[in-house]
Amino acid sequence: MCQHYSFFKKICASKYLRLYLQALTCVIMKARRDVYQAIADPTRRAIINLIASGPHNVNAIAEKFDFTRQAISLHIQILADCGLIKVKQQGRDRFCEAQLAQLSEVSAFIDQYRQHWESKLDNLEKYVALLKKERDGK
Amino acid sequence: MENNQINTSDRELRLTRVIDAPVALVWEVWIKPEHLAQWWGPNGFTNTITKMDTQPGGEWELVMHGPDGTNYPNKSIFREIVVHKKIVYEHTSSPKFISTIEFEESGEQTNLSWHMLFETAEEFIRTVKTFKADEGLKQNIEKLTEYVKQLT
Repeated sequence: MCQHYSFFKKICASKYLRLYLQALTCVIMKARRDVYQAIADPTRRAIINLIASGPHNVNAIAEKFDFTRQAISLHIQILADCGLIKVKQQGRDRFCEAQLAQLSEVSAFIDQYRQHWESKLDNLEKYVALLKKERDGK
Repeated sequence: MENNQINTSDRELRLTRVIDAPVALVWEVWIKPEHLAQWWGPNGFTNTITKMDTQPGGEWELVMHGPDGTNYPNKSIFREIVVHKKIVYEHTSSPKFISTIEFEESGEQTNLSWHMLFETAEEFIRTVKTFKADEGLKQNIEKLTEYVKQLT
């Protein structure tokens, strides 16, 4: 028994358990708030575009789309859950405000992807230089 | 509401580069498979080109071999070929996109412009996201390689 307890204590104190719990928390947070999920839908992107210019009343947003108010409300809820917009109550109105900093995560990924293509051009440039040297040498 | 036909800013990538070589050479390096295989793909990758029919409607099949032995097959169809000026190809395997490469002569140099247009913003976002995952994997392999080096 005593042996088991000391083993258990060792496991708990180990950095592996701590890392595992950290990773697990991270996964759960990600599943709940995925900025990609938010912008994967064209209507949600259109809503973000609309309110990027300034806060809009929920009713005003709903009027711009050919969807039911409920459908728009659901989109707004998802955007709010993902942290892309903030909904503020002002008297009887609910205003949506864009939280554009969240989108920079996406643009960082796009930058990395761009870098991947830039490196292809680097390779092309190097190869052309090599070939040019070879031919000039002849 | 949203016009995908006109506004493409959410699903495209545009790169430009001045290459210090005449357009004929840059063109040759792009259009001849034995040259293309030498520079295509990320660092540490090699390529096998099984088919490269550089004419409109022509098929292009290229397999990139990753440093860990993983194969990444790519299938495309050339849509437009204007000698020393323009190459348009459609990447028909996933992710679907259209690539337009334009060559502009500038004395002894070549201005290269490379435009990639994905079919949908969803496809673009998915690709970027998958790439991020691949990139993580690549870093892992690099780390492992470093580690193995230390051991030996």
